[in-house]
Amino acid sequence: MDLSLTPSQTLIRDSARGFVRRHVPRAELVRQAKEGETWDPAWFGQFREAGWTGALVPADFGGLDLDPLSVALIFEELGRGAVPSPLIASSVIAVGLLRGCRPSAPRDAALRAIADGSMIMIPALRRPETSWKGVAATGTALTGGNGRWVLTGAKVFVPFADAATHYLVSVVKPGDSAPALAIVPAGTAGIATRLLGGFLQANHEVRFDNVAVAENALVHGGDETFDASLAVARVVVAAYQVGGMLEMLDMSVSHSNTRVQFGTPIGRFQRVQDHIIRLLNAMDAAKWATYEAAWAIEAGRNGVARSYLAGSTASDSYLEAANAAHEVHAAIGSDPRFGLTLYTRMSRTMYELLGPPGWQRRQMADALDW
Amino acid sequence: MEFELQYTKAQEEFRGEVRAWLAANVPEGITARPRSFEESHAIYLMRRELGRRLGARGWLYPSGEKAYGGGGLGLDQIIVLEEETARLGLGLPPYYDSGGKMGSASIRVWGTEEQKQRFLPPIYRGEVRSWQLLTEPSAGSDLAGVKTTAIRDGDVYVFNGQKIYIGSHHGADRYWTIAVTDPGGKRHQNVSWFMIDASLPGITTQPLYMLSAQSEGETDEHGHKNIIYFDNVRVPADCLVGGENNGWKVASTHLEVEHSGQGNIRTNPVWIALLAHCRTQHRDGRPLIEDPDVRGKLAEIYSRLEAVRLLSTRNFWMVYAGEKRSYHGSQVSYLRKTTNLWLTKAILDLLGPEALTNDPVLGAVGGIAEAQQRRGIVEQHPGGTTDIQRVVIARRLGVGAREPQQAGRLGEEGLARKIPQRVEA
Repeated sequence: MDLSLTPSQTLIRDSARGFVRRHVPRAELVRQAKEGETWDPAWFGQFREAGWTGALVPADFGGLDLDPLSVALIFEELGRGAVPSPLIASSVIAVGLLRGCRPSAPRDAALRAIADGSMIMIPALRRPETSWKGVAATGTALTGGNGRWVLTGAKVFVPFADAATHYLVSVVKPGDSAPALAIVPAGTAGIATRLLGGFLQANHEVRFDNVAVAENALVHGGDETFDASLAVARVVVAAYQVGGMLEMLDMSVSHSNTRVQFGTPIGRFQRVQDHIIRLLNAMDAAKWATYEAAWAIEAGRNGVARSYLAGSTASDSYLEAANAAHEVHAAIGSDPRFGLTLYTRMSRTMYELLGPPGWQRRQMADALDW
Repeated sequence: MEFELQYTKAQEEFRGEVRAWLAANVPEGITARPRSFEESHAIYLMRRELGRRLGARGWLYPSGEKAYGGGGLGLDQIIVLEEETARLGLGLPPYYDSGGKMGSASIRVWGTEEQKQRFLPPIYRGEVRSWQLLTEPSAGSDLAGVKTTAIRDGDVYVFNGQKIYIGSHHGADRYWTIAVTDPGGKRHQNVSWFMIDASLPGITTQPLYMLSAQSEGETDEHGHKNIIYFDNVRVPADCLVGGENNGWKVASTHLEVEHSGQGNIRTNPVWIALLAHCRTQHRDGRPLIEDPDVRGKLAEIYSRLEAVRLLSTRNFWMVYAGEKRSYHGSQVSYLRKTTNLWLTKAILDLLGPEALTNDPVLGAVGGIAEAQQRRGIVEQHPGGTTDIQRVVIARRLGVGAREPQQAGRLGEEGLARKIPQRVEA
């Protein structure tokens, strides 16, 4: 057993940490949130230069094909900075879905384009008024035939649709129950997007109205389900959530040492200490579930089950950690200028990104053959 | 013991009168969720006008003494007024009036006769809206640590300092505030309360946008609060309430009201809306309420909220029946805060991401769910954090002390004695 990072993993983590420190000041994120800006194309350009757009893309298609823990460490640092970016949607989730598809020319081309940063592929999965039962259950029925398909319907809670060059839309062909994904250029006639307001970061409704989909724009699932192919994505999303918790822990410890009430730093009060310990425990539970899942995927030790454990734990923990941090900060924490609410909003936004925690736990039980 | 309210014939007659009056005087759109400052302001003006009309009948502050412009009503009629306004989604007052509620309660207990005659009628009649000004940048949980000074200079007190996280949109006419009147004095013996005219020279206001704000009926989009600055503000000395440097005793009444000491008999409006939503909205081709997971979660939510409702009802009864109270106010405050924070996750689990958006189409429960997500977090701190409530509960129980601490006086104790004998069921 050795729970330390390899030198190359340490280097990758430090590189991501350095990027966030140099380029993502909290004041800028506060400003972006206030102005309603969802993402920063300049930052995305730097992710592309670092090769992170292809972090999970096989080397044959121009990607870095990094091990799951290395990618998790990059996103842990981005999560620590609460960096909003379509990178997770495109280079983690869409890549996970495409890697779960049978090799084909459109699939391979998409992986290559995502890796080189020329394509931002946004998964459009969830249908309105449906509960989450996995990616395969989200397919919107295509109409038409003879290789000329028509897509009509809405997809909701689509992250960073405003950044999409293409959508990866879950669809079902008539008479074919097998789930498929349609690669649809974002500028296609008949597509309309709407930003969803509220306590939510960069989520959209995307409506497809009689959108033409060619046969060669469809990619099809392989032997394993899409949900199994998203194991790495679950780990990476969990790592992003862990990063947010790490930052909230630092903020809470710092605040408890500098905020004086009753003539003493509030960190001396056991009740304040209790909140911080609650935050710490939530963070560490998620962090080590995430690291172990990354290892399990790499080592072939039921990584799917471990990824569901990490995913559900991190989602629950991020909410718990945010709540605890708010109890430490009281009114100051609810002032958006302070920056804590960036993390609180992110904790809510990411809660169900890859399925509700309860659903993930049931998937875990299935994957453990209970 | 009787938990169910049994209404007398007189109460039912009064209900008919109230309902007819409200039908004629509550304008349409008064409970709409405003989506812009202009809409919010229009609704605010409607609510103020309704407040004045209610005030003219003594129904705005029904428990206030008639001699000072209140209703002088007994519990029998107060209950009916509470129920009938709640039925329309309104509170009493129908606008954010924290300084009116807590200031009037404090003035009733601690003010001079002259002050009661001067300050209470405008509040009770809805002529003024008042905000409480307590928190300062360096004094939140530690209220006794306020730094704003009010130094006597002839027949005025000169105010200097700042208060933060104050009020809501659209301004106020009066400020109910605490300041240091003896900078060299001992802690707890150096502060006093004032009811101040908000238009005095030297007072400036800077808006502050929080994650959410609690102001009823006002736009929730930006959580509008304010920083209020005092720069050599000359406040007439007769605005000091409860005696110079006696402010910590006056605070006991103020805080008792703020910490839910008065209780209430209202059902949580979020619950009512949530249940209706689950009955009418569909998911996976069936009404949400028919999904076993939804039913289980709803039952869990109901059970938690019922605990809060029951203890609020108990406090309501205790105050009006003149029962001796101790930890009860802070207990309800603590339970309400912790339950509402728990509820954010419960609703998210129940409704999914629809609970996070106020989108006109996708936002669950007409956006109420999204507002609750933010409000449940922000509610943790106003009126004392959950940690402060726990300290108060422990002290009232006598934990770690020789003598249990007493609850603050509210000035409404024993109102139930005005209830006519309930003969009809």
